[in-house]
Amino acid sequence: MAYIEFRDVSVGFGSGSNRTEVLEGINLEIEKGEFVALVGYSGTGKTTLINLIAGLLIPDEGEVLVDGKVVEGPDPERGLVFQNYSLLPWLSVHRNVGVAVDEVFMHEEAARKVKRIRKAIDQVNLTDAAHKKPGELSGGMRQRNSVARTLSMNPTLLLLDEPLSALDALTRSVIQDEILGIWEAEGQTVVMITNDVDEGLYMADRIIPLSVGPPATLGMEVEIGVPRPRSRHEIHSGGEFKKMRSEIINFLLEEKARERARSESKAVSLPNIAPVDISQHRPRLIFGIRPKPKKVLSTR
Amino acid sequence: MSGTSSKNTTPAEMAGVSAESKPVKKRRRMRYNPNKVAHRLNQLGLGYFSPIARLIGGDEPAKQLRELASNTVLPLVAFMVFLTAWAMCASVVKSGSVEIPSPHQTWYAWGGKAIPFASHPFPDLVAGKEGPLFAENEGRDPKSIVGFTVAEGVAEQDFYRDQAERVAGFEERAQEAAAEGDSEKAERYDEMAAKFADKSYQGNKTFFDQIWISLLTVAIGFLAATLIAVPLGTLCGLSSKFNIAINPLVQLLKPVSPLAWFPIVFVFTTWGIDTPDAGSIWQRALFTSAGVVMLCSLWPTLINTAVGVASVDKDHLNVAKVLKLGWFKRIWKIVLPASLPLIFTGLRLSIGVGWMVLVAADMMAQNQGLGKFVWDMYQNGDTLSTAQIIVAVFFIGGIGFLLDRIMLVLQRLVTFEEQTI
Repeated sequence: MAYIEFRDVSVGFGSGSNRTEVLEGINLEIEKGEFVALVGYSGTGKTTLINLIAGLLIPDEGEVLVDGKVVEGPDPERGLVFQNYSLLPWLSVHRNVGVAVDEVFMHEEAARKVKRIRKAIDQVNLTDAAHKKPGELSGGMRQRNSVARTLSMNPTLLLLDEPLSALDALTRSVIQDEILGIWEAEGQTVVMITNDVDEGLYMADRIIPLSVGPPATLGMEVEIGVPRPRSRHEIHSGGEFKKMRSEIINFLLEEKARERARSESKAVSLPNIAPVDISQHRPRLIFGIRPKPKKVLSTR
Repeated sequence: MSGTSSKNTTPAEMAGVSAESKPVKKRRRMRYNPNKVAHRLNQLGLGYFSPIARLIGGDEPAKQLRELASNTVLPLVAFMVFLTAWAMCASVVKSGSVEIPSPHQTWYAWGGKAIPFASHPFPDLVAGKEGPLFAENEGRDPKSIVGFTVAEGVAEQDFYRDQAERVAGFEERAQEAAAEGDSEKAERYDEMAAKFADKSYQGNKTFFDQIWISLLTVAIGFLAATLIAVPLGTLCGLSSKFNIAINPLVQLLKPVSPLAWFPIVFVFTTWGIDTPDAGSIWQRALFTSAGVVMLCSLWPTLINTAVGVASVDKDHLNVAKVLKLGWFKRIWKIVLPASLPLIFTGLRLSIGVGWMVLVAADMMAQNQGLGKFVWDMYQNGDTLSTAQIIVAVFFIGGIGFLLDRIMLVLQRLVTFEEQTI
């Protein structure tokens, strides 16, 4: 049995007439130690999917299994790195990691906890900034801090929710390599959301594009059998990568086109309204006092 | 020979050491960063001094001087206009025996001394009365605030000197009696000595004693309000049902005047607190006054805490969820720190309301604070007493301003620099 398993999962938000189905009939299997990238347009339910694995959301229908157990709530074993870092701004880098360590390794002695915190911060190369507060850090450093917090919990599953989308291209490639390094060293299972197909091609074993919802479904998947370490140069020019990229992008473009067609058929045609040129048709207002109506007697 | 050479080398070595260590020291010393100091000053609510800090750093001196000048001159001009308007009222507005005192009369009511070379502010009051009482008080009018304080200080010293003499006298007699072998008499004298030694000075409260009592009253009321409002506000923020339940009550009680609360609090304190000793500062009136302060200053903290807790970033709560923090830890580690800035905004408003309400509460409860001072001076009903009320008004305003500044500094300390994380 696969490590992560989605069985006919459907989930939606709202109720009554406000209800929107976000995911429908999702079936997915991810093996232990695999690095999977989910790509898709924004707003298609990628975060919902990862929240289902993290246990922050419970499916309306079907079930999500991790390691053979139905997910019923969050667990430090399934470490989630949030899209917007979610650091606690009143704590230093060290303490932000410490909050997680104190909770997950509650019964360990203080010295061991400090060791764990230091190790996690070292892993993301943030040692020199350990005493700083999130407000003093750059975006890349904040994301490293967030990753360190998740790593410090020793998760067997890493869930990365668009961890790099807010970063500039250079910082992005540096952190990509750092995440890959950590994954190769620790061998966790990784599920990463990204909106960048190249990022998926560079990092993942398998790319799963989400169809455009709502509700979104899983249409296809691309196995990237390219041995590691992969070269960025190859990604941009190699024939193998070109084929896989066009396959994914074509799927996404087709999805977009289908969605557009669907929304056009539903579209309400708007009346063609042209603004009135007031200077041409200046309204004439006349103020006057109307006399009390009197009965006009017939003169005849 | 070797001895002299060693003597010669030692200072040379020392010179070498110091010459080497000096630049190291210089490098280590923190450089004066005028911008940083100015920023810190601003944070402490001492923004007035930040141009001076920049001036010391030599940062655009002309601009700093201009800023300093306008920061000083403009408020001074406004104050002069205020003084003039006040002085103009002073000679005109009067009712019966009381006139609105002039600034000079107010100055006299504070210090007990006329401004040199000016005509005496209270000519008819003082004529022929500058006798021994003035001389004892360093030439101050004993009816003025400082003069009265000095006089009380002298009286207190006299009391304790007298007490010590009496106690010593009784002890001496007790010893004499013991030497004579009359143990019963000796015991009686010892008892009397102990009785006298126990007595403490029961003089009148001075203005400064009353300030301390006022501060103590507000501290008790404010502390009690905080202890009630923060937990209650947290509950309101956490549970919308709880909020719905108590919100009407909060809205209903929030606008109630301290004067209306007083009789109710009075019943509570009379019921709950035993009559204390006459000399104790923990008078029942103090608690009545503190209770009124509490009831009026509760609301800003409660409402701000509720808003702060309810608006904690959802991402921060998700962190708590992923970490599986328990209820208490979630509140203590995530919710409360995240809402501290708003809680402190509430506390700052609360202490302002508390201090404002205090004078009225003191008047009603006859608590020995500033309100009692104002009330007593009002009952005196003469111009000098009215001038003393004006002095009290300046003190009440000044202390209120200080309290606000202290809370502002605390508020800035708990507010993280960037909230958008």
